[in-house]
Amino acid sequence: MMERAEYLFKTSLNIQQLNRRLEKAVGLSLVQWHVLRRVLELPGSAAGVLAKEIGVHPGTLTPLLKRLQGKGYLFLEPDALDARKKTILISREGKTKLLTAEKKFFVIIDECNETKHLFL
Amino acid sequence: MKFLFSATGIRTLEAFCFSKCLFAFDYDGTLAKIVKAPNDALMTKTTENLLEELNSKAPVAIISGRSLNDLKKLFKHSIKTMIGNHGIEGLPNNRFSGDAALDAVLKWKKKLAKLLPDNPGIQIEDKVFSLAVHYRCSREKKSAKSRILDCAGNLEPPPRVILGKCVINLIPAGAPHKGVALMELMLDRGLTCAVYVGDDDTDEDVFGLSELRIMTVRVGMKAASRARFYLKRQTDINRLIKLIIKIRNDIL
Repeated sequence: MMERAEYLFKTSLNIQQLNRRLEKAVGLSLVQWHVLRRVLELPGSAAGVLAKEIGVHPGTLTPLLKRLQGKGYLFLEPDALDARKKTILISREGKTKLLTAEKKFFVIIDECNETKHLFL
Repeated sequence: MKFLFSATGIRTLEAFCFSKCLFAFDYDGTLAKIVKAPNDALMTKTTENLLEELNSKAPVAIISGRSLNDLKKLFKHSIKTMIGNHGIEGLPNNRFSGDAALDAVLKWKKKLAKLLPDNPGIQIEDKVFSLAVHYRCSREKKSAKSRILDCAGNLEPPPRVILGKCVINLIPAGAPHKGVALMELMLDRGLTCAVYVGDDDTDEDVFGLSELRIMTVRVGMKAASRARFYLKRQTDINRLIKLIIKIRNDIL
């Protein structure tokens, strides 16, 4: 059990390091990339639906969305029929950023020895 | 409703175009102008060419109140995905068996022939799985409409009545509608979102879907409509299709 706990701790550190490398290289963390990718694939979703797709609590998603919105990568639009609902849409800048970032992203992940064992 | 060619409308359309999106259109009043004789309702050459071009770049579907046979004649070589009869004909995997609908329509046709004998200006169109009672050519449209609605109230089994532009559609209750058809198409083709353009009450079955991943556009502003966006007039359809093509070209 001790070994498992140690293993999980090291893996967690490795993922944090990978995340820092990704953010430095492409300006997006793993989580931000994942959220943006889902928004691209599911335009017009409400926050609750998106949170379910991603597998997080809506409360966790909100600050992530705000950060991406602040960077201009997505926008929240009130539903034309019910202003209480907000639909989440990727912006042109967000789409460009995502596709450009993904090219470097996948290379970095592939090169990262620290996490290769996770996929064996 | 928001104007589609506003800043909000355009960036919403862009976001949909970036994804695996189905572009679906009604026919009469949307792709083609409404005219007195349904057989004369043809798309302009420009619209036809633009639609073909879009069809080569993205999934396109026609969802119309016309019969499937009618649609096949209109789109001989281009669009392959067509749903007719307000969502009844052409569903993927033949989900709807129309026997009950055929029976009902036959009964209605017989009854209406007795209730509306030789009425100038009123024309009953048999679309096999539904009836369309046109009164565009009637000199007194209000009373013609009222008369038809009265007759519809006496039909058995009771039809679902959908009002169109100078036409009253009688559809078997419980039959699939345009909203169901659109969702089925999306599911069948693995598409995550759709843009749907229509112009009248028969399209409210799509506009009323509480599905934010369908961008609904109405031709003509109508406050009571549940469409989220609108075009000002039918001729704006070319501008819309051109814009979608441009956005898609920018992605590729």
